[in-house]
Amino acid sequence: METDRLIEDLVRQAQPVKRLARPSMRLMRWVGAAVLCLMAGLTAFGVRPDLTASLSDPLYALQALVTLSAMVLAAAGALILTVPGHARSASARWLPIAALAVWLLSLALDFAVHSAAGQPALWDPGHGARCVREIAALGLLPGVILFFMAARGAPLRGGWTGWLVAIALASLGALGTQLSCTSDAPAHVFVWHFLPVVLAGGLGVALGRWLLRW
Amino acid sequence: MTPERERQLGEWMGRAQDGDQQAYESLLRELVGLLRAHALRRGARADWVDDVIQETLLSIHRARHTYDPQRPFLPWLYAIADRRLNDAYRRLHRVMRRESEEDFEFADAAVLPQTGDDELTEEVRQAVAELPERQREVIELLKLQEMSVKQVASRLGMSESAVKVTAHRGYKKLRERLRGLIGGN
Repeated sequence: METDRLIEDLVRQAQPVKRLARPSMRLMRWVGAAVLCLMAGLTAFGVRPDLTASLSDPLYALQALVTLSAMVLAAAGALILTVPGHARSASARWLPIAALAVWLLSLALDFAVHSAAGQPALWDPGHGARCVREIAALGLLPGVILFFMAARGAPLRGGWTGWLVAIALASLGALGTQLSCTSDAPAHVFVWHFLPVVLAGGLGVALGRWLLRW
Repeated sequence: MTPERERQLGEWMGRAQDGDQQAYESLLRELVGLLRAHALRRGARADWVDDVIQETLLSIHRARHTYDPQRPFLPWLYAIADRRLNDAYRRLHRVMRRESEEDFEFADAAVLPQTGDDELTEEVRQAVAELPERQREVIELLKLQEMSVKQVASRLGMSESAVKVTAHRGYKKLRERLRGLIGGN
């Protein structure tokens, strides 16, 4: 009986709704906004003077590519998870983790290469805090945009969605920071570029459970 | 469920997204049976399956803009239904764990007509009488006839956990209704 009444109420309230665009379409919009934010941020922070030469270093280029992949995969995952029952929701969750794992492996490889070449691999605390600030500054606005895009869907898994949003925004920040930071020491990159992304993910889980409760 | 039937459900939802109330009503009425069967298959208890169905229908209403008519309907539906089922299980475990101690304290203070205050007793009796039938039966047996949870479960053909959950809900309603009359509660 109560169910019948509920159905009558819901039918009465049923106005036309604007369908949510497909995740691929929403992802393209977000990436467009993110690239604009990144360019504006890099204009403000400046790119490293030896960027062209650095990009010819395979390990540097690999790390930049993997960070970019983590950003795109995490954003795609966050948007896919807001569509109930989406066929790709399992890979949407695990691919960004794979990208982060590859980034970590490339850092380990970088560490070995630096050590073998007698270059400083262990510690370069110089401007670590500045890198963290840059990651946060570069990722903040695209992160807020992605959060609202996710909230417009139906994020059935708030914790996962929050994690993916946080990984996307922090990876974007880390990518920008890699293009501006002059330190290539793998320990520096691990502590001040990689770990903030992982920590942001943890914070994202908590915030997602709280703010994206559905 | 045949592919044609699933396509029909998806088509109704597509029309509902465009504001077709008739299609939406047909869809929701059809979903009640589907959701009931799904919940029972997933181990939901018969006595709280109606609550889960209603919560799922509300969620479907909120999420209807996320359905893509080009995609199969059932995975979308069951993802939402599973989410609400999981919430129901979590809620049930929370209630079980707490064992509703505060409810029983409240019940001792409020429901038993031993206050010596006729007006208050009448208010309590009236509030109990206005509860939904199942909640009223459970609370009357527990508090007025002083039966144990096990005895009530046996008498009403319910599980012990269902008796606790029903009593918890009834006490919650009573607490809201009698707020102000029962000090501090």
